[in-house]
Amino acid sequence: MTAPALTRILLVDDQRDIRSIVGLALGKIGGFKVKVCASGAEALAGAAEFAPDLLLLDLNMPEMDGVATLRALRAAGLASPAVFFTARIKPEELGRYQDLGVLGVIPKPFDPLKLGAQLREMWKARAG
Amino acid sequence: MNDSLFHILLVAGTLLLVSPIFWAFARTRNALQRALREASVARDRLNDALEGSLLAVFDWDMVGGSSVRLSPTWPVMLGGEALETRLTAAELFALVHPNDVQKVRDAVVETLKGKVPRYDVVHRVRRNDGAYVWVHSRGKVTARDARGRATRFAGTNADISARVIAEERLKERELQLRQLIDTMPAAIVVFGTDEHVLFHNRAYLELTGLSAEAVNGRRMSEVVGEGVYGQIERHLRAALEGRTSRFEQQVTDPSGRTVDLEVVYMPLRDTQGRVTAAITVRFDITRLKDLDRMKDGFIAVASHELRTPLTSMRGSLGLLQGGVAGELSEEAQGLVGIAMQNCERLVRLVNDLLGLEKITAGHGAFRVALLDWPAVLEQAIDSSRGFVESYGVVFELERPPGLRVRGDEDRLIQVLSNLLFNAAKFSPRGSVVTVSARPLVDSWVRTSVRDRGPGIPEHFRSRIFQRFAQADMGEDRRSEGSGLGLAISREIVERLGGRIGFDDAQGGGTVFWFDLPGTLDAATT
Repeated sequence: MTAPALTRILLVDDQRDIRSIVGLALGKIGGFKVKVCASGAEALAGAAEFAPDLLLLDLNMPEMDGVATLRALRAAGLASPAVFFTARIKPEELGRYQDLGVLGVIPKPFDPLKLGAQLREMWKARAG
Repeated sequence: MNDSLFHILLVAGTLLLVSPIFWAFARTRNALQRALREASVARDRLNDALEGSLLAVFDWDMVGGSSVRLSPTWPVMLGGEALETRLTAAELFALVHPNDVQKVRDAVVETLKGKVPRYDVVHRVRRNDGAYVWVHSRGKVTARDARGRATRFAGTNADISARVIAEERLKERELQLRQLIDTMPAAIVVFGTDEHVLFHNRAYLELTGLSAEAVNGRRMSEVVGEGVYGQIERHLRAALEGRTSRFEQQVTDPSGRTVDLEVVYMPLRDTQGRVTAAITVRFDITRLKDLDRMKDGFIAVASHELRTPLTSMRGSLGLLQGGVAGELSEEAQGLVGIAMQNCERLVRLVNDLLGLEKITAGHGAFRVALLDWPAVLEQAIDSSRGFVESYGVVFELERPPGLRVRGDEDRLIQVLSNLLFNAAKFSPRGSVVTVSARPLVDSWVRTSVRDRGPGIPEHFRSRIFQRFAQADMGEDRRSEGSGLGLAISREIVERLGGRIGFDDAQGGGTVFWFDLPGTLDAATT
């Protein structure tokens, strides 16, 4: 299977600061098309229309956390692979979310200049 | 003539007749005198012995009035001169302590009536100076008349005041000790080599909810129940074999509260050092544990709360540096760089704090495996390359192939990174940091990181592995580390059963090393 190039990224994070930093890092520096959502509900409402290649989800959110949001998106038929954005879980603990199509974890704090490259690498590793 | 002959014959006859009588008389007298002498010596000896042993003899002749003959030791016992004396029974009774009179009277009456074979009673007797002495009084009926009535009653009184006072002091001391042990906030049980309980305190009953009857003299297995006994048996046996053991335990007390205990099993020894019993002491450490849990929770929350703003700050600074807001002037670049470095330092500090708490609290299970050690060393060097290059030092790796180390890969890379970071930080620019590993005896492996730095100042050596210990290196270098690297490294190495240390390197610089169990592959040796 030849993977399409990674171009469209959907970010879900309840913190405004992070949304603007990641938006700039991936959009202006990384050259991706980025949609940012402040909650799981917002993501559910807009994900299908945006048709992301990759989901970048904060794990720690009020009401619907990252895992719940991902489950809901999957239930709604969205199959795009996901990356968790958190300091809380370690890469080796990812096995637990295997059925949810999680590629990896970007630990916080992160380097905004490297974020795009990190996501591309995960994307490539999955395709390869 | 006839007359005189008769007289002569008479005298001679008389003499013949009388002389044996006279002779016998003389003999008897001598024997009597000798016997009397001997009796006197014997009596003196007896009196000496009595005096020495503080035994006072009484002999009550009930027929000739109510006179009681007393040995010379009697007046001595009462604080007077040694002399044989007599008192009436009534006078003697008057000397007995008022509280003991009834007891003594009853004992005497029972003995006289033959209800008991011997008179045996401990009581007090008034001395001449008004004080009382404790006596152990023993005796028996030595003669009875045809109708079986006692006619003589004799025996001894021994002054046992010293013993009674000592015993009373001992009892008092024991009572004080008992109260002390009962008020101690630790549950104590002492058991003998047969595992029967010899002693316990009140705290033990409160902790277990057991009654004294359910504990005293019973086997430990019976007291604690077979289930718990299975858990403590080896500690109990170890204590009886002379070894001390210490562990933590969580139990539910009678009120249903969960209690954290620190438990100690210890042997008790006699004056010859033989184990005669063992003691187990349980300290309630619930409050300490609660504080510890609070501290862990606090650190987890605090570090998360710190990380969130740090993430935003670091992200924003990174974007500024990356030119998102346009090209920065050289001065602005410098200032953003400073802000960035300090952000990263705070992040490291938070991470290290959280990591150290996890390790010391025993959280975060270690995944121990037999590791391909050269590969791990290479990986550690690779991941450290970035910051090491900024110090302008070069790494050199020396290791025999096929070396394996038992440990947790991620944690050991953390240890190596800390050592590499320190080595790079304290090395002169352009120098070489040598990383090496070699097998020791008993399949242990020593891993060393050698720098060419100035060495460790004498005054800093003893606290180098303590938290927040940093050598006085001047402000620029201090600011780069969290001061936790070596503390974390030691925790990790020790949790893996190893040891860590440092030596002065030959030719200058310092060697930091850690030893862990491992192997050298047979195929490659």
